[in-house]
Amino acid sequence: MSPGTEGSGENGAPRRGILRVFFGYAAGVGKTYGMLEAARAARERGVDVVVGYLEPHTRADTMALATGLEQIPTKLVRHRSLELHELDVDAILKRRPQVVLVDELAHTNAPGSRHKKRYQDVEELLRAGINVYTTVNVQHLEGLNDKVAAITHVRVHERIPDFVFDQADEVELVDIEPDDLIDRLRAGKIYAPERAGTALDHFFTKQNLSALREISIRRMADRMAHQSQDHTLSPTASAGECVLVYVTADEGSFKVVRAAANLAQSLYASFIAVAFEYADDEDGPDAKERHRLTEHLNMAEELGAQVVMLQGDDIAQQLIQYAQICGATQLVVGSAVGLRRLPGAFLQRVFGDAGNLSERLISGVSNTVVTVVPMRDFPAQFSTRLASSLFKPTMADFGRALAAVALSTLGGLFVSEVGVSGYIMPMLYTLVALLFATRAQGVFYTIVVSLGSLLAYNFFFIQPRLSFAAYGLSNSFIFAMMFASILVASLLTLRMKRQNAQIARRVYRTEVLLGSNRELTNAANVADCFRVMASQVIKLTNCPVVVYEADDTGRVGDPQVYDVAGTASDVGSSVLVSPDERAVAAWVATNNEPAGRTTDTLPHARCWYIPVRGKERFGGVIGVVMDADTEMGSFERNLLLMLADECGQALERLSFVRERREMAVRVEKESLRSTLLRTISHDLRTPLTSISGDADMLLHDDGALSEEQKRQLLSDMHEDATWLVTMVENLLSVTRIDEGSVRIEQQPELASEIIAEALSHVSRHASKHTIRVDISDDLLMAMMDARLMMQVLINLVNNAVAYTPEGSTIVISANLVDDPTRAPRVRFSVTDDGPGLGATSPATSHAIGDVKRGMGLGLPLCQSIVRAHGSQLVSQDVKPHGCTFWFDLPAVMVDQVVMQDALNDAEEQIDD
Amino acid sequence: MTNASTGYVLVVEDDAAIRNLVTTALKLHDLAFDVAENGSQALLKVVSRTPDVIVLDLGLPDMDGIEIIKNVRSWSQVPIIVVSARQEDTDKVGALDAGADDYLTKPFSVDEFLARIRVALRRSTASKGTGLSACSDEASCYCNGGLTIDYAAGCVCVDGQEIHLTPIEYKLLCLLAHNTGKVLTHTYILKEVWGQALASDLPSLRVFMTTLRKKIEPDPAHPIYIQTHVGVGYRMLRVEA
Repeated sequence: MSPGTEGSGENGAPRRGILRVFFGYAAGVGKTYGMLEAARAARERGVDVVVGYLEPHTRADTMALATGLEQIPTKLVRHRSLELHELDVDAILKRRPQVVLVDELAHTNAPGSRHKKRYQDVEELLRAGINVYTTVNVQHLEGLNDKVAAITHVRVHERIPDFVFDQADEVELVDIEPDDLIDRLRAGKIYAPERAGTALDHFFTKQNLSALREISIRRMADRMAHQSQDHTLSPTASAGECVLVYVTADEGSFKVVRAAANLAQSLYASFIAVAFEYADDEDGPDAKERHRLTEHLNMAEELGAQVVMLQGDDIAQQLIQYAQICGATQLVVGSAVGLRRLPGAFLQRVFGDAGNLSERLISGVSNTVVTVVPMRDFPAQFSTRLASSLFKPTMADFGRALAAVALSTLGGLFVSEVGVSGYIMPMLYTLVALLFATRAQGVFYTIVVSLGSLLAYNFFFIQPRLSFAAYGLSNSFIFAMMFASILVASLLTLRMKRQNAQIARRVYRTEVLLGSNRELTNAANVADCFRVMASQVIKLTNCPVVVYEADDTGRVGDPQVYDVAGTASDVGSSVLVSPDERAVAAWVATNNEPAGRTTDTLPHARCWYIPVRGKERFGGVIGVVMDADTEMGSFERNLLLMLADECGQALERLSFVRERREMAVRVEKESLRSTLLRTISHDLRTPLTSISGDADMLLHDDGALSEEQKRQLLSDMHEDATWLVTMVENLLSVTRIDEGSVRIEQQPELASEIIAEALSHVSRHASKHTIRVDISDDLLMAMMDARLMMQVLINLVNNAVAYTPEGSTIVISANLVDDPTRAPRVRFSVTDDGPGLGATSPATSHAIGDVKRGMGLGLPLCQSIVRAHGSQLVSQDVKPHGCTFWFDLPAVMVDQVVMQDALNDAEEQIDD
Repeated sequence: MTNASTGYVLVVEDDAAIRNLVTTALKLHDLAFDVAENGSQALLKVVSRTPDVIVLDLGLPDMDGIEIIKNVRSWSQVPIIVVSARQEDTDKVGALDAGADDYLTKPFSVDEFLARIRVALRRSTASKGTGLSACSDEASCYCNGGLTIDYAAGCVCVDGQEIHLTPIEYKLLCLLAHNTGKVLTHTYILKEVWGQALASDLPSLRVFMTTLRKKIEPDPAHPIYIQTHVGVGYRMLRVEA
């Protein structure tokens, strides 16, 4: 650790802060002391250090070190009768020091705080760019929990996920000889003397301390080894080892997950947690178990696992298959996992038994090491999903079974009356039992129906009839086979039905995901994106959704609530958009992390909020409204996060498209500007040279010039000046367009008026040309900026005049374009019968950019004015010779009202 | 042009070169004039010299030209011709709505400038009761070239031929006739004839103006009575008989 490291974050506020952990093996080793010393050293270097939180019972000599350091007052939280002091995150964010000291990283915050755990507070500070010094004891690391508990016989409840420790930027091991620590304890430096005695007896034995010390040093070494390899715990990072853990709802599964995580860490392996999904229809007593499974999976995720949910009944087979697919080298399972209580090995076989799971796994895998973690010290829990509803006797199943038996019996009685042989009876029973099995819920049905069928068959159809007595070996065979076939066939039907349901669920989700992708790709704007996202989330979760759109600065705007279709808003929308809820959304927006219900951050909110973001752009926040009993599994959560990512990408794509379009407009303007600059110097210089030259001659004339010559000079000057005026007019128009389309004020204008006005401004040379106006309708109106459009017409006519021989005819026309498929347009055209654009210049609109043919910037300007009106200036050669320039403008149809007006007006006149 | 030489023109212009150009032109045509170089000077001279026409540059160093128009309009109807280097129609419309009668955009030709002065002087003298109108009773009758309006009978004749106008066309014509020589903005016309100035009524105005022109103009493509000011409005021109 170099003394200047924390200084590197001193001036970069938006950068992530640096986390420096003081790590020790027990209380009293001097972590807090070390932290304070480092803080003082930093302050002497001029770093802005404040104290965010110090344990209040800190020893006096340690406290002495803290004097002189600025302390941020802690927040007082009342919980029941207790007054708890908690880290005041907001105060620190507001104060924005360079370094803040936060003691006891593993602390659990008081209920009602923003985050459940203090390390999450610290995360937020780091995200805000504040460097944090903190302290951690070895027994607080989640992954070491079992090891430490085994040594000390004390379970620590305040724990931090290992990744917090592993991802810390700097970890400093604070070490002391166990003997010295015990001396310190005896001296009352750690606990008050009366407590010190008990502590010495129970925890602070030399043996314990040495073991803890060893664990912490080893852990530290592991961390360094990881760092030197630049190795992260990301599941995809490792190509070699892969640890797969089977997570169940058993209470002991915690231990299995931790063991697997430790294994993964020491092997530098990727880490995958696999669990089997509960079917949706299972509720009631299951809810608890499902909740526990979710907890286990969350822990696995915290320990760096990638969670995968599988579906199906044959656990062993599926685990083996999955292990092969993902190339797992290690498979970790708990020992108590199984179906040992199932009656009979036969049933287990049929149901793809997990009974001897470890044995089946071992026999099934080829390249995978199977590790079995004993869970005996935990209360045995009958826990596979199958147990819950599949084996639950229900009245409905019982009724079905009875109905099946009764129906078969009735049918049997009927056919025997008709005289059909009694040997088809077993088949009849089997068939009816199968038909009813497609509706049945559990194994209970199969048992009842097979026994019932057997008894009824025996009672009604086997001699002696109407008694349970039966004789003969063949009857015994028939009974046995009938029982077995009904049982197996019903079980298989049942299993197929369950698998179908699971497949349907999966297919539906896949469908929703694919559909989202497709719809998001098609979304034309941001609002569309969010609408699609909301409707997909509703489809997946069946919960109302709140959407907060973010503006360009990343701030969230007003929320919009989407209800589940068909349900009246049972949740008060005002609650969903209350200031509290908005604050959670705002937090999500600033921190770019999910928050709200089911998370550890602001868990009292009504919704679970997830950020919608692309790679660079923050799009908004989506809140899924959850009721108290809504349980959201890891699979659903990941699905929603994936959807959010997809939405974020779609948003980003939209903003890219917009940027590209803006860029294109800018390029267009830029090219116009450069064309302008190129032509302008030449176009302005020539007339200016001639004006100043002529004026100079006239000024210094000492009688040498004749009257005639003087007149010629004066008329030249006048002509050049007039030319310059046109030029300046064009220049001004260009600036107007360059300033953006805001300045283009379009109004309905009469084509005839505009053309007449334009003609009154065309150059004087036009007198040698014939100019004709051809307007189909005097009342033809189009939307345009009158002044700019006049400019276009003037330039086009001047252009035609300049490039056609004297005596040519120029026709200006305006006609309504009759095309029923599009909005009505007015086509303006200027046509001449001169030589045309010529073969050298292709008759496309590109020729318009050719300034050599135009009068200076005339034509490019026309093109950009017409473009600014949302149209295109097109040039074409016409037959037999000549060329035409035309463009379309949206027509203003003389509205019905106006015509009515005029008609009324006319009637009134007649009345007069 | 001799008959208009009685007019007295106040030129308000801060740019020396333009002032020189304008005064030279006025001098050449025997028009009496005075000059003011800024707004306050102009206001003083309007009060003390009571000019027949004011030529006002909008870009004055000390005050906004529109303020001057408003100030003058609060007590005098003297014709005001605005001269502006600004291109934007909104400036012109603003000045016209504030009470100016006409506008000129720099660069302008001397001929055009003098023509505008003449029109304004005629308006000025007409309002003083010495108009050129051939009609004996100005209040009940309007004559302009071949166009006559008999207000009392409510009938309009062009070249002695009576023509039929719809009520709106008639209102429109009367409004323009009443303000002969003055540029009327779209907004003003809409307010006066339709009672409200909605942008959506603009097409109506254009429609009625076209039909009116068809009826009174000898050649509607080249109107002699009603002049179009693109982006600004319309004006009734004084036509020599």
